[in-house]
Amino acid sequence: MIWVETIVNGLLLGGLYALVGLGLGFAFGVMRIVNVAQGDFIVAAAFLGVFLLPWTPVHPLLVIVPVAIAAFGIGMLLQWLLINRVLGQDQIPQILLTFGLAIVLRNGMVELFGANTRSIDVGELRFMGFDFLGLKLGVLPVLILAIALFLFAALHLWLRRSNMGRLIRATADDHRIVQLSGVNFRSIYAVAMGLAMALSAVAGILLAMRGSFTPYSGADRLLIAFEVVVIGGLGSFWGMFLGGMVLGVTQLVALKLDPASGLMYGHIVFILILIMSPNGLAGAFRR
Amino acid sequence: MKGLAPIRPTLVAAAAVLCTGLMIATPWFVPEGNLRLMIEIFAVFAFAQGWNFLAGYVGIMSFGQQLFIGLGAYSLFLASNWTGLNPFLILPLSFVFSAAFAAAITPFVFRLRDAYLAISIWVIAEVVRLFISQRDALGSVSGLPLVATREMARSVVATSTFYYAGALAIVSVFGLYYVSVSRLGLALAAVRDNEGTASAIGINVWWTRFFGFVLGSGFTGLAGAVYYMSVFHVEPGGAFDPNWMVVMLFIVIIGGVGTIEGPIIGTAVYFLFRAWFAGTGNLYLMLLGAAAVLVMLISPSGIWGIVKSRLGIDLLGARRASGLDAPTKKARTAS
Amino acid sequence: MSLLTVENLDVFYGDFQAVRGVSLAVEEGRTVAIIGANGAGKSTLLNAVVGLHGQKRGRVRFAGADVTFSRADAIARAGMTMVPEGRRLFGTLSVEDNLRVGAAAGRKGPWTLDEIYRLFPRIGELRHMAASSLSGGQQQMVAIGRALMTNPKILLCDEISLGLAPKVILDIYRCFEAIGASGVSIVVIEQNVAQACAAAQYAYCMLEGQVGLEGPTADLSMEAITAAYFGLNHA
Repeated sequence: MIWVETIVNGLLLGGLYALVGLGLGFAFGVMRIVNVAQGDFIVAAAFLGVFLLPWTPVHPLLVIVPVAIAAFGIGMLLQWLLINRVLGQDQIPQILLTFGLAIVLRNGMVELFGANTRSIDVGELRFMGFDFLGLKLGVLPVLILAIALFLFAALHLWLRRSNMGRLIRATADDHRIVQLSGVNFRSIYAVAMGLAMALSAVAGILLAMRGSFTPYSGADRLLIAFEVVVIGGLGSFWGMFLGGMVLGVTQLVALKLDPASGLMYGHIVFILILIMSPNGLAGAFRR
Repeated sequence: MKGLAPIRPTLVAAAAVLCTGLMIATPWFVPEGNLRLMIEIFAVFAFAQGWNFLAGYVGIMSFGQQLFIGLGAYSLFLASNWTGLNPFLILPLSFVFSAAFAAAITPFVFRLRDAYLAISIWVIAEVVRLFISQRDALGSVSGLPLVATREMARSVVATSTFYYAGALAIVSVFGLYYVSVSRLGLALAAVRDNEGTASAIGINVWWTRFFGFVLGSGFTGLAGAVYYMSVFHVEPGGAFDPNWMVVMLFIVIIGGVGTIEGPIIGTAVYFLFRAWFAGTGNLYLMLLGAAAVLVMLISPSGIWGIVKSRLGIDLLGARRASGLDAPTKKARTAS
Repeated sequence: MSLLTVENLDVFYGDFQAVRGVSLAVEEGRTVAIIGANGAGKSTLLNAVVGLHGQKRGRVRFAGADVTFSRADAIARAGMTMVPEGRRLFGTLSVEDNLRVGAAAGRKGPWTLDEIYRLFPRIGELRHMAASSLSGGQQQMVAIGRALMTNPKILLCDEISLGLAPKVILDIYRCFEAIGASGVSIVVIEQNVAQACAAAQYAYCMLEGQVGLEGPTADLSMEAITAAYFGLNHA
């Protein structure tokens, strides 16, 4: 029973990991851009959450809203002011630019806030639990999975149904040709990056509520996001969800067997999946 | 400077001989403390040039080259400590081990491209770091000393290590030059610029990239071994530190990707930065990052790119033009 | 004044010059053909005119404004768009979504989804299919429909008959009469000389990046066009 509980908890954590990957995967799907600074932006969002917490009315969970809005704006600015200037056939300039940004951001946070471990305090919600079919589950992890599922579904529907969603999909298909319809793909890119950042920011807040973070957590966050996207099959929407689940379960099972292992077994499972199925899990099922 | 082209091979060979001579003479003139700094500079320059070779010549961007720094150092330390052999004699082993490791991971990391390839190598570096951190036989978190060098005279160790570091630096310049004008270099350039065309003219794209990656990573491993030999101690947190990547990227970006001369400038700028901002801790790292961002926005071909386009100087003439060339999108004034 | 004038346009790909000093004019409501063999520089010319290709010199004026170096999306919003060579539909979108993307230009005018489906009844039946699952002819109709949805003043069509069956080509060209009747100026690029001359009132013949021959299609003899097409007067 303890193992079932571990696996279920792994799935709950996996939903959050999937959300960590969603921003990166979405940006890649639309723009073929990999924002290497995404992990450090996730941490920055958590810091913003810590500082907005005292001013958050009703419930600490609601701090997500202002942080997500701020992240959207920052994402748009990032795209407009920096990344749009280095677009081109060659991906190296974009990647190196965001790499430089990651270094600035990480060390800036150390400088401003110190290297202490922090978390976002959600009050008694963190300790509340319930019994489900004999399993002891936390309310917060279940709530977080629900939020992750909701955001996946909402993004999916929004892309299918809305006007802007249609333009984003068209731009993802062919950003050059979409211009012939009067669409400035750079603006679409800015919206897409804003969304990617908002989604990442939500993931960052939730991670900081479930666990803890330091200014150096960005590297691990980026690696998780990256592994979720690759396991999911580069741009496959629900594949990413599966990727998150695989990582979440692996990590919790491994921690039970080898408490000092950290993310190592998650990384190893990622490498094994890469060896067995280069197109990720989604690719393996499609075949 | 086009007039240089016909006699360039002779000039390069002469320069190589001159530099080697200078290197051999240096320990007689330079005090031991300064030798130590020079070893560090040469090793870091070799790290950067190894990454530059991969990114600018092979067309593989890796964010995980600290993997090979660590592997090179650990293979040398472990081999010497276990067998008791003189580390200066078995140094080539670190090249062989790093190259073999690189060869072993290529079959699956090459399934990914661009940033995904770059980060997957980083993931492997993390796995190796965490693995070593948990194994007492490998020194776990606190690391390993290099036992054999304890019994040697310090000045002998410093001089010998300096010669190795000097050789690394010379190979980083002239070796890269000779590789880039060799058959392998031309094949690499063809593959990097257009894989389709390269395979159409009979180049095996996969194997060419494979050789490039293995060669570059093996060299980084060798440089890692030399670096850690000079500090007598290696630990996983330092050897596999992603900040090595920050340093390599900074040097290459600032100087100019895909040029031999660029990283020389980049290394000089890096060590000057470090000297000026020593003690400011994170501020200095922030400056490195901001400088990289600025270079990408202003001149993706780096300082050397600016120098070359302003002055028309091309010393080694072995630049492999890449997508990072200053953009010439609009030919409003073209003739 | 002409709706679209191109003066002395040079277009480059790096060091290679694909278009050399081309001048042309299109009057409001007229159909103009640009004919020439493969590699004559026709597509490059159109790409440069609509703003998709930046390496150029010369002048492009559209509806009284200099648009030589305007962005493609701004040009499309001003009323000039193109049906690109090879159709280039958004493959993962449905037919109707492809058409709706055209409406993003935000221009008012006669062309609506209903009008497009009236013009091409077949694609109305297929409107919920993925665009990539359609046949070549149907895709071409969607591509034309998408361009019309921007309600352009002028429509540039790049090799729309390439790779299509003769019957399908005939159907598509028949629709051009209706499009022209709605007041839209049309420029067609063609390798198929007879087809182009039948549809257009005026024709330019390009060879090796230059205009070798031009005139009202009624006045151009087949011999003169053939000579200009293959460059026989150079020999």
